[in-house]
Amino acid sequence: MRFKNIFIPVFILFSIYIQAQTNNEGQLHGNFQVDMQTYKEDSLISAPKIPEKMLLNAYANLTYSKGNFTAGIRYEAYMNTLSGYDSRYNGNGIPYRFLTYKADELEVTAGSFYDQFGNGLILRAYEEKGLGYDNAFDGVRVKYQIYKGVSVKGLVGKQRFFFDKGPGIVRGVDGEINTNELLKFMSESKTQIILGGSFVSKYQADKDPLYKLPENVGAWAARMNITRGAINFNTEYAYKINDPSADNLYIYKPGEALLISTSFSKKGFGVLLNAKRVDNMAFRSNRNAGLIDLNINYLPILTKSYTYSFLNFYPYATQSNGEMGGGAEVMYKFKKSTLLGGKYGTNISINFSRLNSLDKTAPSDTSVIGISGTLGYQSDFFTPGDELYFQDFNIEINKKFSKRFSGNFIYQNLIYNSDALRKDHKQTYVFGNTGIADMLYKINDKNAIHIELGALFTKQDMGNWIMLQAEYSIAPKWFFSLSDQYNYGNEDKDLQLHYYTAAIAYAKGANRIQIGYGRQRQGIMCVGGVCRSVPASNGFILALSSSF
Amino acid sequence: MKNIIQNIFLLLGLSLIVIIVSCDKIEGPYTENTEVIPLQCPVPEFPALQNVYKKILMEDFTGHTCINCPTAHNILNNLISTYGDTIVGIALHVGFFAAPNSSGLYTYDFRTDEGTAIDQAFHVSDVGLPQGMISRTQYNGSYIIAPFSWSTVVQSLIGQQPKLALQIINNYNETDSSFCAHIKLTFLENITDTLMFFCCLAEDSIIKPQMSLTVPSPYNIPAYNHMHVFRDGLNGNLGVTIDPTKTDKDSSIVKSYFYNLKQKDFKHKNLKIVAFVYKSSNNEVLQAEDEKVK
Repeated sequence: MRFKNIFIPVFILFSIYIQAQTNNEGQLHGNFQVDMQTYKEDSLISAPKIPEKMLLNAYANLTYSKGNFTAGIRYEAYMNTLSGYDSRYNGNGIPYRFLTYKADELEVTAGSFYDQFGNGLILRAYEEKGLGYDNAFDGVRVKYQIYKGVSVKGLVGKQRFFFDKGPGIVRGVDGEINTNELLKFMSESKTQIILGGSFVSKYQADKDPLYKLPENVGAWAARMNITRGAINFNTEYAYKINDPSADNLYIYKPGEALLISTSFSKKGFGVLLNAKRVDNMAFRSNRNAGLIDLNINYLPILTKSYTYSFLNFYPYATQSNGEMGGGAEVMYKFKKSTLLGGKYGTNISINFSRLNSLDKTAPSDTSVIGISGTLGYQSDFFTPGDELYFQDFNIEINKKFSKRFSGNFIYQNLIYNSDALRKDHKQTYVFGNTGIADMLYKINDKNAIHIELGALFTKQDMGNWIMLQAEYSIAPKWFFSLSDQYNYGNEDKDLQLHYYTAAIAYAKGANRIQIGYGRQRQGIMCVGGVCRSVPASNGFILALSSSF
Repeated sequence: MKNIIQNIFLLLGLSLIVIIVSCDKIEGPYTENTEVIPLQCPVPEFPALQNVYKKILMEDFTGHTCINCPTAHNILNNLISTYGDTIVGIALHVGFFAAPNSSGLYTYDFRTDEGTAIDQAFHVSDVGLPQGMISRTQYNGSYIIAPFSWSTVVQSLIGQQPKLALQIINNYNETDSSFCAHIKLTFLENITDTLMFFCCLAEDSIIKPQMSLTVPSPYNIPAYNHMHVFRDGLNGNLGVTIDPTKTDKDSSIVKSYFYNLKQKDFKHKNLKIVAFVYKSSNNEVLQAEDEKVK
């Protein structure tokens, strides 16, 4: 039945395409990506035997636009899913297809779409291939600009659940007012104010024999963004009514979340202050779902995001059941021709973030915290809990030494609550100190050498690590990379292993092919606080991508 | 300007309607009356406790198109042969391998909402089947245990002291195809952990097809004997919380459930009640028990 539904829009799409070719109108764009890996059993790193020996994920996007219409499809194939991705993706099909019509102030989308209300506290649908995350809506969405500076959008849909859909129906409306555009007396003002509000409701039938479950669960959010000169203030508050679920072990307490972000920036100097409180804000279109399935909302992180491997060994995972914390970052550029600035200037940033649990006390209807079928707990809005989840202090220095040679140097001091964030019950805290030296030397306009040195020191988990990565690039076509991460500090001498990777990539125009070999450690991977576990693996990797 | 105000009021009005119709605020008590002893199920007299020992719950995650799963079934049956009623087995048909086909041999749907919820909670089928959980204890840092390790783990758990006893009495009513299940929990020591109680219905000897590596391609065994099949949950996906004020030494609680078997394709003589108690903090099963319905 699904395929029958798919063929009709595909047929229409290609009919339009053929016609468009004839009329020399319309545009067709697309991209294609294949990631393939072979697997070898490696008992030392607990890499399991993969019966298929080779696994593959592939994606192809096609978007056609003509006049006011845009239509698109995405084909996906998982044969079978790469290790670490959810095996429920196994198979292939066209899970994403849409048609959008836009005329003047009105935009209508039928089919699949992604969207976000405000910061995403009550609604965000997006795709993150690295995580195997895709909570796209399938339904209808209307956007309408009522007046200059005033816009609304409304949507109704079910969410993608692998090659199927979740059981819940999500309805949402969001409005935004740009006061400087709407109000004449504000149009010349130096202060820019944008106000927004949204409401989302999900419906899921109550089939539970024990609990009286709310079939319609509503959530609302209000937000404000004020900018004046170098100062920006952004905040959003969200509230959700009782939503007993597998996430909160079926308690009936309402949920709430608050985000505050303030920044000041002028040339060579910047300050960023963040604060957040999340209380029982898991919001899914299936109350029994777990993992990263069927999230309606997204709870942003305020911890620093890194691209370096060692700084991602212990990433923060958003605690939707409750977290409270803050962060600050100061950036400064020492000017050129000063003692610390040298010939080209020096950038330094100091960052600190810390997140704790919530302070919980027994609710009014029972004497024990967190019991299913009760209000669960009470929590004072302004008091953090005693349990530390995560603390990151880091200093980053970015320095250009000469026209050809530049470097980026990072020190990080980390406290990571492994029990709470990884739920591995192995140890409570990991205390880590990490140093990264990332250096780039441009031999000439085409050739460059990139060296990354890293050291991670911890007495917990797998102990100390060092790493070396060397990359050589011949722009714009060739790229060579070798790296070794050595777990020399593992308490178990048999597990003091090297994790080698090697890769060669070739790019020509919009086409890129990469071949590599790698031994990957078991770990956890997070993007924006959303995480999945990554099993150990050992094998060859082939990645192909192309776009037009 | 007048139009804008009209439009804004229209939108506010529509939003208000959406808000009003889209929220179900539930007032306590939040549980249905199922935890109250059903009228048709008067609690019987339970015999005095004798020879209480800690039983081991074996949850076998399986599927009818999983060709390696019969090997795991055999391992579970061998463990039951070796350790007798110390092993309480249950087979949860979950994930891709349990999905029914639209035609052919494998059209029967063994899956249940509760089984799927347990699978999702512990991410079992994500790592491929067959897999098991043994009293929901961790082995090598994981709840999910491969069949070739089951024997090792069971051996390590045998002989532990029981912290509570479970007794089950089922009263089957042939006339209206229903039964009452009564489960008595007696605490043998003071327990301060938050405990959960889970109760479900399982069925032995369901003759349906199964794929198996033990037969030549296309690996079909058309009349396979499916044992310990999880059929339905009696108290939710995760069970119910046990009142923490009633878990002192020598305290006891009786849970009673009424179950109507009409319109179910279950063979009554093959049905059994499986009950277990686990710690909310780390999921460890403290005691398990099973008893035939008829």
